[in-house]
Amino acid sequence: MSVFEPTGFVMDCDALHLYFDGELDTMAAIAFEKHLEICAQCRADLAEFREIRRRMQSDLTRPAASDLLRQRIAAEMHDATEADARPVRPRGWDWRKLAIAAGIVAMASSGTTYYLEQPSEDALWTEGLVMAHERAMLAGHEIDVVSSNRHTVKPWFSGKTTVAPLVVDLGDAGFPLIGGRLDVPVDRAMPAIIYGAGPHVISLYMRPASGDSGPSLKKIDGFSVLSWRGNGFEYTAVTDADGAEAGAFQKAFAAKAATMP
Amino acid sequence: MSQSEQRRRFQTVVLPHLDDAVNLAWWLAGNRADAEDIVQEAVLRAYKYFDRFSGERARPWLLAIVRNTCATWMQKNRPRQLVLVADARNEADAEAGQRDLTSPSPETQSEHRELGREIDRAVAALPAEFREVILLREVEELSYKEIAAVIDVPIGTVMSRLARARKLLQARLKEAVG
Repeated sequence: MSVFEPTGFVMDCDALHLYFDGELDTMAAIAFEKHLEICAQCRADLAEFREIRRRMQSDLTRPAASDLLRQRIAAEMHDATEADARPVRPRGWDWRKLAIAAGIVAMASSGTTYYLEQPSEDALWTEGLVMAHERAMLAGHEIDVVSSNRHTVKPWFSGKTTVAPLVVDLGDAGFPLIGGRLDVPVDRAMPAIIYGAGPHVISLYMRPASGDSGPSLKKIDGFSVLSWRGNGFEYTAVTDADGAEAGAFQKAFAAKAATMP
Repeated sequence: MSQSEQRRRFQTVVLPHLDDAVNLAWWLAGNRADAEDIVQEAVLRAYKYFDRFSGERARPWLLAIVRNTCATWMQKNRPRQLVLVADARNEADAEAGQRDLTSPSPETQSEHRELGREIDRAVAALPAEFREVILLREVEELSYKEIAAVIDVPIGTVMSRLARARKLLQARLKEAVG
């Protein structure tokens, strides 16, 4: 139907995918929604694209890595660590070129301003914690204060953040206290208490919150993210360990926290 | 940084995304044995480049290496099918003015052919360059910018391929219902 319409209208139909994929900024998205009101074709397409997305996310076959592959990789990494590995630059990952390419589509703005399915504050918060954990692991900046003694870790944060963290010793339960780190996950400095879990690292974040609630587990970017409430805090544990291990950690922590004054 | 620290960091930051890597490789290569060989090679490459990694998100970075390793692997192991990829190219990429001969081949669906679910078959039937963008968008939930970096094309091309992929899926799924 767009063939008989003025050029501006055709442009609007073209923006359907940008709108659906959350690539329009707020103003552009509002302009597109005006178009949606009068364009039955776009409304029908949008409904079908949503259905395709739903089916791809819930029904599509999704093979996972086999144990054998994990073993092969562990062995290879061991060998590569021994050998004098000469780094090679990967093809196809040139951010400068990308920056130029980014200018090509004027309507696909930074992608940071989403209109459609705007993430909730909670989701942004959790995402911020995952990014903070990932950044710290990446930078090799896992710990600011190294200590297995909770009486050393807790005072270290005073004056650095307004949150006085609850630090407990979970060595008996298999989660040794490694230390603490000051993170800025979203908009202010937060304490992160670092525990070990076998070969894995757990970053435990907490912010003041009322009420009690049981743990809820999410997978974000491959990390296990477990949140719960109690003792005047909302806790979020971020780890590369699996969900079961994160759950065991939460249980041990909650049991110990209940005994604290 | 010591080598063991380097290794531990890699295990914490990159390896959580191994399942995503296998999923992408399986959908591009068409069977598990090849997919896992490709991922193994890709992870080893990622490990070697790891000290150069300065991006913000590890997942798109790893997926880019998997995708490129896959393309190289296809070129080496299934060279004949590259011709088909070039022929299969259509108007969707004409405006991009480029012919990316390293795209994984579409004609490699030994396990894909066995798939029972309609949505699986519809995705498997897509030409490779459309299949990879729709997977990166809907399953991996990457932004256009991240997809552009993974497959090394302009953002405009990402958009036109996504549009084409959705049209093809739409038509195929309608056919299945009707």
